[in-house]
Amino acid sequence: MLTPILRTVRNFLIIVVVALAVWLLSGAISTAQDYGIPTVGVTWENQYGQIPDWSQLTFRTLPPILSDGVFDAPSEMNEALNYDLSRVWQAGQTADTYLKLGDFQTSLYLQLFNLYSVAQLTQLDLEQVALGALEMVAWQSLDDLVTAIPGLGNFELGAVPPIQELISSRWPGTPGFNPQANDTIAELLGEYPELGQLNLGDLGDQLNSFAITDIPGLDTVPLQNFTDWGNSTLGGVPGLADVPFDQMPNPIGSVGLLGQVDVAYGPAEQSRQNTISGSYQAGFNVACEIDCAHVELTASPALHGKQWISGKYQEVRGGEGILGQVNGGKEPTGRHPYGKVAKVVVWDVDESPGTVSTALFFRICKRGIPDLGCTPYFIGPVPFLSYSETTMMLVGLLDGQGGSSSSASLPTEVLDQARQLGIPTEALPGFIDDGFGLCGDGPGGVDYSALAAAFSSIEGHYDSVGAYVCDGDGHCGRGLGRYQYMSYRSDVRSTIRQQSGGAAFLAKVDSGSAISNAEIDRFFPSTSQDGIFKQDQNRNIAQAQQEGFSGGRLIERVGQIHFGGPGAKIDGGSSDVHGRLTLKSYGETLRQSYETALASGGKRCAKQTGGELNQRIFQSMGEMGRFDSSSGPDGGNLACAWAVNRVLANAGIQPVGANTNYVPSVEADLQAGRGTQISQSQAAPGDIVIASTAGHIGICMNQGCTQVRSNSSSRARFTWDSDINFAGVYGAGQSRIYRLKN
Amino acid sequence: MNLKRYRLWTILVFTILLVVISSPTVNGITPQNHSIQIAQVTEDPSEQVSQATLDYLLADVTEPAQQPSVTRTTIVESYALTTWQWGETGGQTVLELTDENWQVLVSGGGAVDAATLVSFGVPADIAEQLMAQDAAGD
Repeated sequence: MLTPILRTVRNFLIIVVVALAVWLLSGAISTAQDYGIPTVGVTWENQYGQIPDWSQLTFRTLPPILSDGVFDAPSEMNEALNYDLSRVWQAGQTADTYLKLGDFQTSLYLQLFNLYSVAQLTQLDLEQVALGALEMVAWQSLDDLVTAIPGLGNFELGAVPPIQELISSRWPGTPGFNPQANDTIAELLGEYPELGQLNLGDLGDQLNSFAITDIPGLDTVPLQNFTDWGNSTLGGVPGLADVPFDQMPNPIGSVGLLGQVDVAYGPAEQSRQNTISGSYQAGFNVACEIDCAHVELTASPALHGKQWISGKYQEVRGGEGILGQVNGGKEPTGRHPYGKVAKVVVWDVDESPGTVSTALFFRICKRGIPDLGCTPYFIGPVPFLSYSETTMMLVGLLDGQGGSSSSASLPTEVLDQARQLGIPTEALPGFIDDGFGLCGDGPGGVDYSALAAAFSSIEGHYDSVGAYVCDGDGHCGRGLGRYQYMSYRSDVRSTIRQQSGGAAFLAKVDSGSAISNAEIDRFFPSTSQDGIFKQDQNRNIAQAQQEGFSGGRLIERVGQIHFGGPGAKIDGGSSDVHGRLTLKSYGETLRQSYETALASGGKRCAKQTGGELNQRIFQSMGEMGRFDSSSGPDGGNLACAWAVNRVLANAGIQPVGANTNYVPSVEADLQAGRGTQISQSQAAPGDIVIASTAGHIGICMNQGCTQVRSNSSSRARFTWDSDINFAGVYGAGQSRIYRLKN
Repeated sequence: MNLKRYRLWTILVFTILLVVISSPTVNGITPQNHSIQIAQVTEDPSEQVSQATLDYLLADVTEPAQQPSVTRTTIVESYALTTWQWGETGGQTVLELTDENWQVLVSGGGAVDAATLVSFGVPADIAEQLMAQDAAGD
């Protein structure tokens, strides 16, 4: 029997022990491995530290976000995109549920994945995965699918159950329309082009009664082949949320310096100048004046005394482009030791135990066309690693990019993977096309125009049609145009699809039906062919240079790569199905033709490019995108000249016209010395086009000016892409083209 | 008649009157009214200006993909300003009444301003009036 005093002592001890246990447990939770982030030990420069184990980390296994948030995209932005860019997230959600493919378009390049490769990485059986699990399927039309998946048009309707169901159940029907299971999709689309507008999403829940594999080829084409792929959540691509970060097309790695956490300071600190934190926009040495909670680092001389300020208390400028204004253009200060994927932010700093937690912040991006840029990194905090004093934390490289090892150009891994998938460089975000046709020199001083002429002497003309052939990988199609690019190439298909009726034409090509020269002219115009050619040859030249070739041999090798693909054996004896030329003889023939073309003035187009002003105008168009003109004359109804002058103003060029809003006035100014009238064959991107009646004005978008962008009155937006004669609105009259002189 | 009954009768009478007065509007323009309007069109300067504008726009155009339409006309003394839409494009035309015919001074895409009108011979005060009335007619 315990005395009351002993009982009191016992109770007191129990309370003390319990309190101690709670304190110890809470300490354990708030330090090092709080959220179960897997780490791996490394020893760099004789310093031991723990860094994230990216082979064990996925979007699904990242800790849930701690705060709610919302981004309401302006309606005009959504109209320009044809989908809603808005985003809502709630505390507790994992990253795969609120982040989208487009957010990582220029960091992880998730769009280069295909479903098959994702399934291989995650041991997923696609035959068991419902078609509806692929989120982007819901907004693919039949035309979209036929464009995205080469050869799909050749399948009989009965062999593609989801499409058979779509057509039979959703097509309202026309008299005499009676699709048979053995009709090919191409035949049906050719006969009834309206079918191409049917949307798989119309099947609703029925999508879940089909498997991914019920659409042949769906799993083998890169995600970026699909319309509006960037709008899919990560979780909307089966398996993607479970792919480790070190297996991404542009994998995350850990490089740089380890810094020892010397002292953790709370928010009472002020005026800190020696920082290594900031943002891409503000730089990574942003000073802090008040509330400067931070970590002071040591270890290497370069880091000794450096301060990494807490982003919980300090915000800095962030974001790019139009989206850069979101969240007031601000983001928490921090660094990018793992690149643009996410920002690492020092979050809670606790002086008394000397602990510091870090968090990840993400951003919303819309790159490509239209390029809206990226928001600041404001989606977070997602808890990440925690540290205590004397432990080491990765700060990345001290490279002026916040520790990111990536450069402004496309990462080598991405280029390699894109090449393996047959994706052209120009189709990758981050690639900037100068839009200036064949003029100019390529790498190694190769003259594009002469090279194009040399290929043309072997391959054909702009309207040439090759035989229907199949390669060893089962890809079937025809060589099209001057360079005989195969119709199953994703860049060729994407270009053709942009033409009215392009999807039906592709289906026809896929089916092996005869194709006329006129159809090539219409659906695969010369400017498109040249655009693809230039980028294609850039890659081929770069490969040949890496293999050690130069001069005439460089041209030979470029020819061999063009003829036999990147894996073509040097001076090999293999031939194509026609057996006319070998790799070696193709290269020799090309070299001979190239030298002939050069001798006859290969650089002849050099003077035809628009020059510096054209480039500025064209670049300005890219920056401004399809901008709203409702603040122009008559609410945008009469804003054609106003819109063109806005593009010029953005390019830093003086407005044209005594009345800058009226086409006759603008044209009078051009004729009075501001411009020079040129022919269509001379036209380059950035030249100004005026309708025959002076009723409208726009800007050339390509060499030869077959594409013109101008204001749309009905939409009050600079968004109307037409041919040079504005789609025949003014009849057969020919537009006039002017090149600005000043 | 007490006050309540008087009020009911008043409401009834006014309701009947309202139906009678508004019936042409409610039921649409009667054939008689329509024919009267057509008769007036030929004398309407606005219609004349519109027609002169359309004639000018289409004068040298063969097989246009779409037809223009005049959406607004403003007339001050012997000068007129018309606004038109043509497919995805829109513009304005300035006209002058000469020898009882409307002649086009200038026509093109986009929007004129007073200085443009003056540069094509419209007196400054009339140019200002045209611009003001055109803006009011938006």
